[in-house]
Amino acid sequence: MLNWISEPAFWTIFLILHGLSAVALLGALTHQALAAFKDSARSSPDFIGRFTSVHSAVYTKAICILWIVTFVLGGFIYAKYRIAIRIPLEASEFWWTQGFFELKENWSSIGLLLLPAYYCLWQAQLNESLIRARNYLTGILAIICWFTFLVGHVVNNTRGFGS
Amino acid sequence: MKNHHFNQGIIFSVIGPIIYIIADIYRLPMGTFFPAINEWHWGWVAMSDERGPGMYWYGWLATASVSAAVLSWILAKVGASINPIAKWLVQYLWILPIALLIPLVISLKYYWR
Repeated sequence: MLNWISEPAFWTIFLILHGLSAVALLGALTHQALAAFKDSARSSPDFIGRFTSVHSAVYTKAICILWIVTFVLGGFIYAKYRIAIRIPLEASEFWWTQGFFELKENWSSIGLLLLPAYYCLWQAQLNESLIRARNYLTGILAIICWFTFLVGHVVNNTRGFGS
Repeated sequence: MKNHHFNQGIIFSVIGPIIYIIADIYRLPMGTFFPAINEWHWGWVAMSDERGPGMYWYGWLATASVSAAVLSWILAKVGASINPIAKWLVQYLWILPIALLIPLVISLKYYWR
């Protein structure tokens, strides 16, 4: 593939694909989490009411696949990041930026390892306490996703596309 | 969903993140990748001038995934007796990623300056 396009273009394509799949994951997970926490007795015809009145369970497989795809793409470009981005970031003393990136990398890995339980909980018939546990787990995965997305965005702004 | 699969999924997600943090803090990656020379080595290998910087993240993830898969498979095989434990653990599973932030933030103290 590097015979057809330049090396920067190659990595930029994968960075954009990583970002796009992250956006799709963010949307699906936010939708599911808000719908899961919605008070089913109070549905309204406005935007919020319609946004949260989706059938949450249908998002589960797509969210697992999107998390894995985003993660694999991120893992692939991470090797390039280690050489081309991290070293200049440290040389420029962007310590907090790099620290938050490390936190993102580790927290998203923990999110990945939580996916089997998340999937099982959305597939099984549950009692009231387990439904609460499932919703809280979905909520924390959404928080991890938002955190990793925003940190990735800031790191990209610090030294990403075109640098 | 079968009880066996449910238990295995829950136990994997309880054990996996804990092993991941242990692998990170105690330098137990399954392998180390050196991106500058595109080379893999088993276990934890220090960076050097010849090899360049090492990446341990892939190795931590492999340690956590493989260990959690094996342990959860064995524990789920124990049978129905594990079911109440799995159902109790899963109620508090959402706390785990928040609790693990504490050792994670401490392990990254080098960057908080």
